[in-house]
Amino acid sequence: MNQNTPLIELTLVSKDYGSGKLTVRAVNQVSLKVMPGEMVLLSGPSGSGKTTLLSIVGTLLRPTSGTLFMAGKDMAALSLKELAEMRLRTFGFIFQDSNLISSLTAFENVKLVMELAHANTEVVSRRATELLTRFHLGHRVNNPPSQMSIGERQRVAIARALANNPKLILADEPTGSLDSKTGREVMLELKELTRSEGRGVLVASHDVRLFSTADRILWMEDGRVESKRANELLT
Amino acid sequence: MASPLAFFFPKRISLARKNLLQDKVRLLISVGGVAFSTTLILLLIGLYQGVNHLLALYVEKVGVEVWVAQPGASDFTGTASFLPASAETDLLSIPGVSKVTPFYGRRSSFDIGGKAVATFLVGFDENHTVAGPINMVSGKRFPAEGEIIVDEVFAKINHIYVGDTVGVLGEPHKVVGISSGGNVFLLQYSFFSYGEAAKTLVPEGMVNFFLVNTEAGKAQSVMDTINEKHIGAEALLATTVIKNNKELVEKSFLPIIFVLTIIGFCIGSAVVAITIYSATIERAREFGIIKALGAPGMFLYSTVFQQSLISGALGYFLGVGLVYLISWAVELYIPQFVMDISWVEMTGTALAVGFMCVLASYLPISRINRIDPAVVFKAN
Repeated sequence: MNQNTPLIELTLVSKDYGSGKLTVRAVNQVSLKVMPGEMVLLSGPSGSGKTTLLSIVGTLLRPTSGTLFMAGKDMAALSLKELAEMRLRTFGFIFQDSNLISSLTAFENVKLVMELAHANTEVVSRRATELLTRFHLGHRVNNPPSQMSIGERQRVAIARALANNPKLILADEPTGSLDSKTGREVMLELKELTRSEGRGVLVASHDVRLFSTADRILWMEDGRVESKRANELLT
Repeated sequence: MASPLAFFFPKRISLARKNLLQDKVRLLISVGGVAFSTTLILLLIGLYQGVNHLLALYVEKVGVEVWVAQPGASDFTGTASFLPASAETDLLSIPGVSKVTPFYGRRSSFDIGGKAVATFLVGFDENHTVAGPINMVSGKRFPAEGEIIVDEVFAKINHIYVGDTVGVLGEPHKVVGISSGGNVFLLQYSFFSYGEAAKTLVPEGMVNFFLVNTEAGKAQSVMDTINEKHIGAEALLATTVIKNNKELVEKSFLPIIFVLTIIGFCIGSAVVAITIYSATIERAREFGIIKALGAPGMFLYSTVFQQSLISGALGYFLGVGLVYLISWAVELYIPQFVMDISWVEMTGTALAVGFMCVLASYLPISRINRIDPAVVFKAN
């Protein structure tokens, strides 16, 4: 893929809920791009449409209108099966509540997504161990989520998001349930991933502590998006 | 080829196994439901097969091709048969008949300590050996006058031993032998001397049945000739006698077994379905997460189906174990109940359990289908 090709390109994307007089427009003609190696922060008040937009980018929701291209590929042309395949191999998801599978250990949570992508069994185990060690979770390999702190769970979620070596990471309020120190650590990890490995990262958050770590900040309000500078938002 | 154990202990993560083991109480309920169902189904079918086998055993062992009875007396236990002894000459004159043996045997009762106990009395001694006990467990094989051989099940139920005395048709008889293979569930065969049977089981000049041996391949034509000759007797093939003996049980017992088996199947299916469905509802968000991460639908469906199948398999094997334990206890304490469970019943029940698992997976799978993967972006 060309370095100048955007990882994501949304053009005039809208999303409506309901019908007739009860129609609510959650996302209103949004256009945005995320380039490789770029960390974009999508911020704005609660209910502004951040999560809906992230769901559209993550191909979990189909937009009502507009186009979505992922690494040059039109997502509207893909079947549900192909979209699932795309999510598995191209996206890494990080959620507010870590969303780990409770019956699996940290190691198995990371392994699962690689197995779903039919990776070689030995490669899977080695990579899962490497990722958990990289995020200082070597001692938590065999622990289920219930035996880990919130910060540890979120780091396992990051390891899981990276397991299939995705081009793009989508994070929804990744620091929402973390204390400020752990939140900052998580964001620095994400920043590092963007820089060192040329991934694109799109983070939806209204946590002002994250403004300084993003390359670009998009402010979302009433379903619309505009670019802002961090100092503009902080003042 | 992958080891069969790989299904339960795979190299790859078995989410189904992990999910099941996370909630052991639910797993136990699920396995218990299938085990109960398997036990009920196998016990009922085993009992039915056992009784059916026993009902056929004696007639098969007697080994004659044609039984001649009073018209309308088509089975051993439900009807009585009386024929004139003189009919023996008519029978011997029929082409294809090689031997005719008068048979004295009918349903009667013993007086044991003042209590009447049902039995099927048969006349038999060393000069008339056609219709004797199938096997001897202990004591004498041939009873003399005033002696009797009882079946081991009868002996066990009534606490009778060789050397004891029982009342037979108003006369005391000494138990001289214990035989086996004469248990037909509702009653058991007992054997006393042929001469005594001829005097006590029928009016003078009568017999109960004639046992007719035929030349090879002539059984059907002999039977037809007897029935056409109108000698006041009805000829039946041994297979028909067996069928008639079984009919009573089939008519009274089979519908009950059928209904109970269906109930067992429904209970098993319902328990597995409820436990797997509730587990799926509880994990709806996790299934949504896995969907969002990009898992194909088949992975999720197979996870649910495997959960159901693992519960089913564990329940089935536990159920089979219980059946053997119960069979052993039944044989010890209720000897007239005889179980006959072969690999056919085992396989049939295993298939029924498999079908239960398929049925039980249907609702949870349709629930998974409706889970919106976008649920992952909603706070927990």
